[in-house]
Amino acid sequence: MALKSYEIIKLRTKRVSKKAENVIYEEYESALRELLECYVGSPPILNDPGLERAEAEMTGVVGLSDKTISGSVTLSTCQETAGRMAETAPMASADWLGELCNQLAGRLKNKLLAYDLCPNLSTPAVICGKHLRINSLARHNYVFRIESELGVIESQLLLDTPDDLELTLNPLADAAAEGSLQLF
Amino acid sequence: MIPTLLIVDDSATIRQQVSSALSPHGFRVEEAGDGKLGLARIKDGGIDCVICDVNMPNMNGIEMVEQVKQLPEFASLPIIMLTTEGARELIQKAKSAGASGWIVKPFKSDLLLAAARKLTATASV
Repeated sequence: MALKSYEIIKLRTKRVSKKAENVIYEEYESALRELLECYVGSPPILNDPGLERAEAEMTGVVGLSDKTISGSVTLSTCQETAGRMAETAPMASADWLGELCNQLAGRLKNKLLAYDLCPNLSTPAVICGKHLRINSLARHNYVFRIESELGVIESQLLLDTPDDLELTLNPLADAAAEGSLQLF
Repeated sequence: MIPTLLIVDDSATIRQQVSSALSPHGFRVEEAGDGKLGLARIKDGGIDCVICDVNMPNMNGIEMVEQVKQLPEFASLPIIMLTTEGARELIQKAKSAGASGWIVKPFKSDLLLAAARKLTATASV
């Protein structure tokens, strides 16, 4: 039996809600993958919670928050790997790690706009030192390990979301694409 | 005359990347580390085009645009925003403040060069 036009419209506009932490986790992984493709190729991203943590010497951090969610994103690596990543500016590897973290948080934010979330981002900070661990009371703590040709990079997403928060993709909300140029 | 471009970004690496992308193509590139320093440099004169980050300490990029556009002698100075942000609302805010363009990082050198050439040509007419 053929569908009536209003049924087709309903099917096309059906909006599925998912738990906020699941949406943000998926979008974060996607943002991380895209960022790495730009700068270090396409290394596998491991996110087994049982992974042994890499020994990092510098960590870039960007905080994010809006009315309902808050958290931070980090990128950590050793001095040598950061230096190789900052190929264009070998003397400024910490600065580059902070900028990469900034771009990662920006990508995440741009993806969350499609769910009507618009977190404010902090300016990036880079912490240097060995044996650093981030202790946080955030409800969700996701660690991703990237084994690239340039070395091991670790990324952490710390996230607080209300228990009952569900997010729905808003097909009308979007963001300008990475790398795009608009002249007014 | 060689056009002078000011890059305002708190990341030294981004400032260096912009400089490397534009200097070989006939631009003189100067740098500032935040909106406050950028505004001070613009007031000194001699800048033909500005490329400016949004999220920066001390003074953010949109605040800087607003302040520049309030100065009659610099009201027509072209300012392109270069940022990780892609929110339409923020782009509109920058446009309303008087920005001339918006680039989402990571930038493509050829696009940045094309925009800088177009805006410096327009500004010099």
